[in-house]
Amino acid sequence: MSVDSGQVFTKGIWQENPVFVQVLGMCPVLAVSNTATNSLAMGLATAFVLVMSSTLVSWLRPVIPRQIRIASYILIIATFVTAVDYGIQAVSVELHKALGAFISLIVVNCIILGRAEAFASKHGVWDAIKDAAGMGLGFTIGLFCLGGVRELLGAGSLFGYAVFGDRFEPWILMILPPGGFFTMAAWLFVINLRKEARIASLKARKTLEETRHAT
Amino acid sequence: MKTASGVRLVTTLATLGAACALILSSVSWATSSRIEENQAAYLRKSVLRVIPGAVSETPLKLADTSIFATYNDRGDFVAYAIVAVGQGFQDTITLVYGYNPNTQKLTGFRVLASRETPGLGDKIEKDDHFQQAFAGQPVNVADGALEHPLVLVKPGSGSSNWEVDAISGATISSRAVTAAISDSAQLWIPLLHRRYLDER
Repeated sequence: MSVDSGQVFTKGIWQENPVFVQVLGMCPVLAVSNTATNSLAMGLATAFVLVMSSTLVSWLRPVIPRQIRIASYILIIATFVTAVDYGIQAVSVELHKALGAFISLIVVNCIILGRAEAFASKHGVWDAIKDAAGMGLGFTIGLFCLGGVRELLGAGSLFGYAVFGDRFEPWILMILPPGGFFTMAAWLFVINLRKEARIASLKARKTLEETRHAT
Repeated sequence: MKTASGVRLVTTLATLGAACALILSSVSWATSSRIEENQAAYLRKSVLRVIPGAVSETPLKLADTSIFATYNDRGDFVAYAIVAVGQGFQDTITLVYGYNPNTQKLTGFRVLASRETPGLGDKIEKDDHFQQAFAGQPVNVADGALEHPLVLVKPGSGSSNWEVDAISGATISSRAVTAAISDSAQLWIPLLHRRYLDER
Protein backbone atom coordinates (compact mmCIF):
# COMPACT_ATOMS: atom_id res chain seq x y z
CA MET A 1 0.00 0.00 0.00
CA SER A 2 1.49 3.33 -0.97
CA VAL A 3 0.52 6.59 0.65
CA ASP A 4 1.32 10.18 -0.21
CA SER A 5 4.08 10.92 2.26
CA GLY A 6 3.20 14.56 2.94
CA GLN A 7 -0.44 13.68 3.59
CA VAL A 8 0.50 11.01 6.14
CA PHE A 9 1.94 13.69 8.40
CA THR A 10 -0.47 16.59 7.78
CA LYS A 11 -3.79 14.72 7.87
CA GLY A 12 -3.54 14.28 11.64
CA ILE A 13 -3.13 18.02 12.11
CA TRP A 14 -6.14 19.15 10.10
CA GLN A 15 -8.39 16.85 7.97
CA GLU A 16 -8.37 14.04 10.54
CA ASN A 17 -7.59 15.99 13.71
CA PRO A 18 -7.98 13.49 16.58
CA VAL A 19 -9.82 15.96 18.83
CA PHE A 20 -12.10 17.90 16.48
CA VAL A 21 -12.67 15.48 13.59
CA GLN A 22 -12.19 11.95 14.93
CA VAL A 23 -13.41 13.04 18.41
CA LEU A 24 -11.15 10.41 19.95
CA GLY A 25 -9.49 10.35 23.36
CA MET A 26 -12.12 12.60 24.90
CA CYS A 27 -11.36 11.42 28.43
CA PRO A 28 -7.99 13.20 28.80
CA VAL A 29 -9.11 16.01 26.47
CA LEU A 30 -11.96 17.05 28.75
CA ALA A 31 -10.24 16.16 32.02
CA VAL A 32 -6.88 17.92 31.78
CA SER A 33 -7.61 20.80 29.41
CA ASN A 34 -8.41 23.25 32.20
CA THR A 35 -5.21 25.28 31.85
CA ALA A 36 -2.96 26.04 28.90
CA THR A 37 0.10 24.54 30.62
CA ASN A 38 -1.67 21.29 31.55
CA SER A 39 -3.06 20.79 28.07
CA LEU A 40 0.30 21.44 26.41
CA ALA A 41 2.10 19.05 28.78
CA MET A 42 -0.51 16.33 28.28
CA GLY A 43 -0.47 16.82 24.50
CA LEU A 44 3.30 16.57 24.22
CA ALA A 45 3.53 13.55 26.57
CA THR A 46 0.83 11.77 24.54
CA ALA A 47 2.52 12.63 21.24
CA PHE A 48 5.79 11.19 22.54
CA VAL A 49 4.21 7.89 23.62
CA LEU A 50 2.20 7.77 20.37
CA VAL A 51 5.31 8.03 18.20
CA MET A 52 7.25 5.44 20.20
CA SER A 53 4.44 2.88 20.44
CA SER A 54 3.51 3.28 16.75
CA THR A 55 7.14 2.62 15.83
CA LEU A 56 7.22 -0.56 17.92
CA VAL A 57 3.84 -1.79 16.68
CA SER A 58 4.82 -1.23 13.06
CA TRP A 59 8.20 -2.91 13.60
CA LEU A 60 6.69 -5.96 15.37
CA ARG A 61 3.78 -6.30 12.92
CA PRO A 62 5.16 -9.36 11.04
CA VAL A 63 5.45 -11.46 14.22
CA ILE A 64 2.17 -10.61 15.98
CA PRO A 65 -0.77 -12.86 14.96
CA ARG A 66 -4.05 -11.07 14.15
CA GLN A 67 -6.10 -12.59 16.98
CA ILE A 68 -3.93 -11.23 19.78
CA ARG A 69 -2.93 -7.91 18.20
CA ILE A 70 -4.96 -5.69 20.56
CA ALA A 71 -3.58 -7.42 23.67
CA SER A 72 -0.07 -7.04 22.28
CA TYR A 73 -0.56 -3.33 21.49
CA ILE A 74 -1.85 -2.65 25.00
CA LEU A 75 1.16 -4.48 26.43
CA ILE A 76 3.56 -2.38 24.34
CA ILE A 77 1.80 0.90 25.18
CA ALA A 78 1.56 0.17 28.92
CA THR A 79 5.21 -0.88 29.09
CA PHE A 80 6.23 2.26 27.31
CA VAL A 81 4.15 4.59 29.50
CA THR A 82 5.53 2.99 32.69
CA ALA A 83 9.10 3.27 31.40
CA VAL A 84 8.51 6.98 30.61
CA ASP A 85 7.10 7.45 34.12
CA TYR A 86 10.24 5.95 35.69
CA GLY A 87 12.44 7.95 33.35
CA ILE A 88 10.83 11.28 34.27
CA GLN A 89 11.12 10.47 37.99
CA ALA A 90 14.81 9.71 37.50
CA VAL A 91 15.38 12.98 35.64
CA SER A 92 13.66 15.36 38.05
CA VAL A 93 11.16 15.16 40.89
CA GLU A 94 9.83 18.61 39.98
CA LEU A 95 9.10 17.60 36.38
CA HIS A 96 7.36 14.48 37.65
CA LYS A 97 5.27 16.60 40.01
CA ALA A 98 4.11 18.71 37.06
CA LEU A 99 3.38 15.80 34.70
CA GLY A 100 2.84 12.86 37.06
CA ALA A 101 -0.94 13.08 37.15
CA PHE A 102 -1.14 12.81 33.35
CA ILE A 103 1.38 10.10 32.58
CA SER A 104 -0.70 7.16 33.76
CA LEU A 105 -3.73 8.56 31.89
CA ILE A 106 -1.92 8.10 28.58
CA VAL A 107 -2.35 4.30 28.68
CA VAL A 108 -6.11 4.61 28.35
CA ASN A 109 -5.97 7.20 25.56
CA CYS A 110 -7.77 5.59 22.63
CA ILE A 111 -5.86 7.63 20.04
CA ILE A 112 -2.74 5.58 20.73
CA LEU A 113 -4.51 2.23 20.39
CA GLY A 114 -6.54 3.67 17.49
CA ARG A 115 -3.46 4.67 15.47
CA ALA A 116 -1.75 1.34 16.30
CA GLU A 117 -4.75 -0.56 14.95
CA ALA A 118 -5.75 1.71 12.07
CA PHE A 119 -2.35 2.72 10.75
CA ALA A 120 0.85 1.38 12.33
CA SER A 121 -0.21 -2.28 12.05
CA LYS A 122 -0.68 -1.88 8.28
CA HIS A 123 2.21 0.38 7.26
CA GLY A 124 6.00 0.54 7.42
CA VAL A 125 7.94 2.00 10.29
CA TRP A 126 8.75 5.34 8.61
CA ASP A 127 5.12 6.01 7.59
CA ALA A 128 3.96 4.95 11.06
CA ILE A 129 6.31 7.48 12.68
CA LYS A 130 5.06 10.28 10.39
CA ASP A 131 1.42 9.39 11.03
CA ALA A 132 1.98 9.25 14.80
CA ALA A 133 3.86 12.56 14.81
CA GLY A 134 1.06 14.27 12.84
CA MET A 135 -1.66 12.82 15.05
CA GLY A 136 0.30 13.73 18.18
CA LEU A 137 0.74 17.29 16.98
CA GLY A 138 -2.95 17.50 16.04
CA PHE A 139 -3.92 16.20 19.46
CA THR A 140 -1.66 18.75 21.16
CA ILE A 141 -3.14 21.59 19.11
CA GLY A 142 -6.69 20.41 19.86
CA LEU A 143 -5.96 20.17 23.59
CA PHE A 144 -4.35 23.60 23.58
CA CYS A 145 -7.38 25.13 21.82
CA LEU A 146 -9.53 23.89 24.71
CA GLY A 147 -7.04 24.59 27.49
CA GLY A 148 -6.31 28.13 26.31
CA VAL A 149 -9.97 29.13 26.13
CA ARG A 150 -10.85 27.48 29.44
CA GLU A 151 -7.97 29.07 31.36
CA LEU A 152 -8.67 32.46 29.79
CA LEU A 153 -12.35 32.43 30.78
CA GLY A 154 -12.12 30.34 33.94
CA ALA A 155 -9.09 31.93 35.58
CA GLY A 156 -8.51 35.09 33.53
CA SER A 157 -4.95 34.03 32.76
CA LEU A 158 -2.86 32.25 30.14
CA PHE A 159 0.06 30.00 31.18
CA GLY A 160 -0.52 31.33 34.71
CA TYR A 161 -0.05 35.00 33.74
CA ALA A 162 -3.03 37.25 34.43
CA VAL A 163 -4.44 38.68 31.21
CA PHE A 164 -7.53 40.69 32.12
CA GLY A 165 -6.35 42.46 35.28
CA ASP A 166 -7.95 42.56 38.71
CA ARG A 167 -11.44 43.63 37.66
CA PHE A 168 -12.12 40.40 35.78
CA GLU A 169 -14.35 38.00 37.70
CA PRO A 170 -13.19 34.46 36.73
CA TRP A 171 -15.87 32.21 35.33
CA ILE A 172 -14.94 29.23 37.54
CA LEU A 173 -17.40 26.90 35.79
CA MET A 174 -15.06 26.90 32.78
CA ILE A 175 -12.25 25.13 34.67
CA LEU A 176 -14.71 22.66 36.21
CA PRO A 177 -15.74 19.59 34.16
CA PRO A 178 -18.84 21.22 32.54
CA GLY A 179 -16.58 23.91 31.09
CA GLY A 180 -14.76 21.21 29.13
CA PHE A 181 -17.98 20.12 27.46
CA PHE A 182 -19.07 23.72 26.75
CA THR A 183 -15.73 24.63 25.17
CA MET A 184 -15.61 21.40 23.15
CA ALA A 185 -19.15 22.04 21.87
CA ALA A 186 -18.28 25.62 20.95
CA TRP A 187 -15.20 24.57 18.97
CA LEU A 188 -17.10 21.79 17.17
CA PHE A 189 -19.83 24.31 16.35
CA VAL A 190 -17.36 26.77 14.81
CA ILE A 191 -15.52 24.05 12.87
CA ASN A 192 -18.68 22.41 11.53
CA LEU A 193 -20.12 25.81 10.57
CA ARG A 194 -17.02 26.49 8.47
CA LYS A 195 -17.16 23.01 6.96
CA GLU A 196 -20.82 23.40 5.98
CA ALA A 197 -20.20 26.84 4.50
CA ARG A 198 -17.39 25.38 2.37
CA ILE A 199 -19.52 22.47 1.19
CA ALA A 200 -22.36 24.86 0.33
CA SER A 201 -20.08 27.14 -1.69
CA LEU A 202 -18.58 24.15 -3.52
CA LYS A 203 -22.08 22.94 -4.41
CA ALA A 204 -23.12 26.40 -5.61
CA ARG A 205 -20.05 26.65 -7.81
CA LYS A 206 -20.78 23.20 -9.27
CA THR A 207 -24.38 24.04 -10.17
CA LEU A 208 -23.24 27.36 -11.64
CA GLU A 209 -20.75 25.54 -13.87
CA GLU A 210 -23.36 22.96 -14.88
CA THR A 211 -25.87 25.62 -15.93
CA ARG A 212 -23.15 27.50 -17.82
CA HIS A 213 -22.19 24.24 -19.52
CA ALA A 214 -25.79 23.52 -20.53
CA THR A 215 -26.36 26.92 -22.15
CA MET B 1 -4.71 -13.32 6.30
CA LYS B 2 -3.67 -16.73 7.66
CA THR B 3 -4.94 -17.79 11.07
CA ALA B 4 -2.32 -18.69 13.61
CA SER B 5 -2.51 -21.84 15.73
CA GLY B 6 -3.37 -21.71 19.45
CA VAL B 7 0.16 -22.63 20.44
CA ARG B 8 1.53 -19.77 18.37
CA LEU B 9 -0.86 -17.27 20.01
CA VAL B 10 0.09 -18.37 23.53
CA THR B 11 3.83 -18.40 22.86
CA THR B 12 3.78 -14.98 21.12
CA LEU B 13 1.83 -13.32 23.91
CA ALA B 14 3.92 -15.04 26.60
CA THR B 15 7.17 -13.99 24.88
CA LEU B 16 5.96 -10.42 24.47
CA GLY B 17 4.80 -10.32 28.11
CA ALA B 18 8.12 -11.68 29.31
CA ALA B 19 10.02 -9.18 27.17
CA CYS B 20 7.93 -6.29 28.55
CA ALA B 21 8.43 -7.54 32.13
CA LEU B 22 12.17 -7.78 31.51
CA ILE B 23 12.29 -4.26 30.06
CA LEU B 24 10.25 -2.81 32.93
CA SER B 25 12.24 -4.51 35.67
CA SER B 26 15.53 -3.41 34.11
CA VAL B 27 14.24 0.18 33.77
CA SER B 28 13.06 0.06 37.38
CA TRP B 29 16.40 -1.40 38.50
CA ALA B 30 18.36 1.19 36.54
CA THR B 31 16.37 4.17 37.80
CA SER B 32 15.47 3.23 41.39
CA SER B 33 18.66 4.56 43.01
CA ARG B 34 18.42 7.80 41.01
CA ILE B 35 14.74 8.18 41.94
CA GLU B 36 15.47 7.67 45.66
CA GLU B 37 18.37 10.10 45.50
CA ASN B 38 16.23 12.68 43.71
CA GLN B 39 13.44 12.35 46.25
CA ALA B 40 15.82 12.71 49.20
CA ALA B 41 17.42 15.76 47.56
CA TYR B 42 14.00 17.24 46.86
CA LEU B 43 12.97 16.73 50.51
CA ARG B 44 16.13 18.48 51.75
CA LYS B 45 15.61 21.34 49.29
CA SER B 46 11.97 21.73 50.38
CA VAL B 47 13.01 21.73 54.05
CA LEU B 48 15.41 24.61 53.43
CA ARG B 49 12.85 26.52 51.34
CA VAL B 50 10.18 26.27 54.00
CA ILE B 51 12.41 27.90 56.64
CA PRO B 52 13.76 31.35 55.74
CA GLY B 53 17.45 31.74 56.55
CA ALA B 54 18.22 28.03 56.86
CA VAL B 55 21.17 26.70 54.85
CA SER B 56 21.79 23.21 56.29
CA GLU B 57 19.74 20.50 57.95
CA THR B 58 20.15 17.30 59.95
CA PRO B 59 17.47 14.65 60.40
CA LEU B 60 16.39 14.02 64.00
CA LYS B 61 16.00 10.46 65.16
CA LEU B 62 12.47 10.60 66.54
CA ALA B 63 9.92 7.85 65.80
CA ASP B 64 9.26 7.22 62.09
CA THR B 65 8.20 10.76 61.19
CA SER B 66 10.80 12.75 59.25
CA ILE B 67 11.79 15.77 61.33
CA PHE B 68 14.76 17.98 60.56
CA ALA B 69 16.62 20.55 62.60
CA THR B 70 17.84 23.42 60.41
CA TYR B 71 20.76 25.80 60.87
CA ASN B 72 21.70 29.18 59.40
CA ASP B 73 25.00 30.12 57.74
CA ARG B 74 26.67 30.69 61.15
CA GLY B 75 25.67 27.21 62.29
CA ASP B 76 23.03 28.40 64.77
CA PHE B 77 19.77 26.52 65.13
CA VAL B 78 16.87 28.19 63.24
CA ALA B 79 13.78 26.01 63.22
CA TYR B 80 12.37 22.50 62.92
CA ALA B 81 10.88 21.11 59.70
CA ILE B 82 8.25 18.38 60.08
CA VAL B 83 6.86 16.09 57.38
CA ALA B 84 3.09 15.54 57.64
CA VAL B 85 0.63 13.41 55.66
CA GLY B 86 -3.08 14.06 55.16
CA GLN B 87 -5.93 12.58 53.14
CA GLY B 88 -6.59 14.75 50.07
CA PHE B 89 -9.29 14.57 47.43
CA GLN B 90 -7.82 11.66 45.46
CA ASP B 91 -4.80 10.44 47.36
CA THR B 92 -2.69 11.34 50.37
CA ILE B 93 -0.96 14.72 50.41
CA THR B 94 2.59 14.72 51.79
CA LEU B 95 3.95 18.08 52.90
CA VAL B 96 6.64 19.62 55.05
CA TYR B 97 6.09 22.60 57.36
CA GLY B 98 8.43 24.69 59.46
CA TYR B 99 8.15 25.41 63.18
CA ASN B 100 10.26 28.04 64.92
CA PRO B 101 10.26 27.20 68.66
CA ASN B 102 11.92 30.53 69.53
CA THR B 103 9.08 32.69 68.20
CA GLN B 104 6.55 29.85 68.66
CA LYS B 105 5.31 30.37 65.12
CA LEU B 106 4.96 28.34 61.92
CA THR B 107 7.22 29.41 59.05
CA GLY B 108 5.11 28.07 56.17
CA PHE B 109 4.68 24.80 54.26
CA ARG B 110 5.47 23.11 50.96
CA VAL B 111 3.71 20.20 49.28
CA LEU B 112 6.06 17.28 48.62
CA ALA B 113 3.68 14.91 46.83
CA SER B 114 0.01 15.11 45.92
CA ARG B 115 -2.38 13.90 43.26
CA GLU B 116 -4.95 16.68 43.64
CA THR B 117 -7.02 17.65 40.58
CA PRO B 118 -4.90 19.71 38.17
CA GLY B 119 -6.29 23.25 37.96
CA LEU B 120 -8.41 22.97 41.12
CA GLY B 121 -7.00 21.04 44.09
CA ASP B 122 -3.41 21.64 43.06
CA LYS B 123 -3.89 25.32 43.89
CA ILE B 124 -2.73 24.37 47.41
CA GLU B 125 0.75 24.39 45.88
CA LYS B 126 0.36 27.55 43.80
CA ASP B 127 -2.01 29.92 45.62
CA ASP B 128 0.20 32.60 47.24
CA HIS B 129 -2.46 33.75 49.68
CA PHE B 130 -2.98 30.20 50.94
CA GLN B 131 0.76 29.50 51.10
CA GLN B 132 1.32 32.66 53.16
CA ALA B 133 -1.64 32.00 55.46
CA PHE B 134 0.46 29.45 57.36
CA ALA B 135 3.59 31.55 57.77
CA GLY B 136 3.51 33.36 61.11
CA GLN B 137 0.62 31.36 62.58
CA PRO B 138 1.11 31.28 66.38
CA VAL B 139 1.45 27.75 67.78
CA ASN B 140 1.97 28.44 71.49
CA VAL B 141 2.44 25.53 73.84
CA ALA B 142 0.61 25.63 77.17
CA ASP B 143 0.66 22.80 79.74
CA GLY B 144 2.39 20.44 77.34
CA ALA B 145 -0.23 20.82 74.60
CA LEU B 146 -0.95 23.14 71.67
CA GLU B 147 -3.08 26.10 72.80
CA HIS B 148 -5.33 26.18 69.77
CA PRO B 149 -5.67 23.99 66.64
CA LEU B 150 -5.60 25.56 63.16
CA VAL B 151 -9.03 25.93 61.59
CA LEU B 152 -10.11 26.49 58.01
CA VAL B 153 -12.47 29.40 57.36
CA LYS B 154 -14.48 30.37 54.26
CA PRO B 155 -12.59 32.03 51.40
CA GLY B 156 -12.24 35.78 51.96
CA SER B 157 -12.92 35.70 55.71
CA GLY B 158 -9.37 36.92 56.28
CA SER B 159 -6.58 34.82 57.77
CA SER B 160 -5.95 35.79 61.36
CA ASN B 161 -4.56 33.83 64.32
CA TRP B 162 -5.32 30.11 64.00
CA GLU B 163 -7.53 30.80 60.98
CA VAL B 164 -6.64 29.82 57.42
CA ASP B 165 -8.57 31.13 54.41
CA ALA B 166 -9.75 28.25 52.20
CA ILE B 167 -9.08 28.44 48.45
CA SER B 168 -12.31 28.79 46.49
CA GLY B 169 -12.64 25.79 44.17
CA ALA B 170 -10.23 23.75 46.31
CA THR B 171 -12.02 23.50 49.65
CA ILE B 172 -11.36 19.78 50.18
CA SER B 173 -7.66 20.11 49.40
CA SER B 174 -7.33 23.24 51.60
CA ARG B 175 -9.04 21.39 54.43
CA ALA B 176 -6.71 18.41 53.96
CA VAL B 177 -3.61 20.60 54.20
CA THR B 178 -4.90 22.50 57.26
CA ALA B 179 -5.93 19.27 59.02
CA ALA B 180 -2.61 17.56 58.23
CA ILE B 181 -0.59 20.46 59.63
CA SER B 182 -2.91 20.97 62.62
CA ASP B 183 -2.92 17.27 63.59
CA SER B 184 0.81 16.92 63.18
CA ALA B 185 1.41 20.17 65.10
CA GLN B 186 -0.71 19.02 68.04
CA LEU B 187 1.35 15.84 68.23
CA TRP B 188 4.87 17.10 67.56
CA ILE B 189 5.10 20.78 68.51
CA PRO B 190 4.73 20.23 72.30
CA LEU B 191 7.50 17.58 72.11
CA LEU B 192 9.77 19.72 69.96
CA HIS B 193 9.17 22.76 72.16
CA ARG B 194 10.20 20.71 75.21
CA ARG B 195 13.27 19.45 73.35
CA TYR B 196 14.22 23.00 72.34
CA LEU B 197 13.95 24.31 75.93
CA ASP B 198 15.95 21.34 77.25
CA GLU B 199 18.76 21.90 74.76
CA ARG B 200 19.06 25.61 75.38
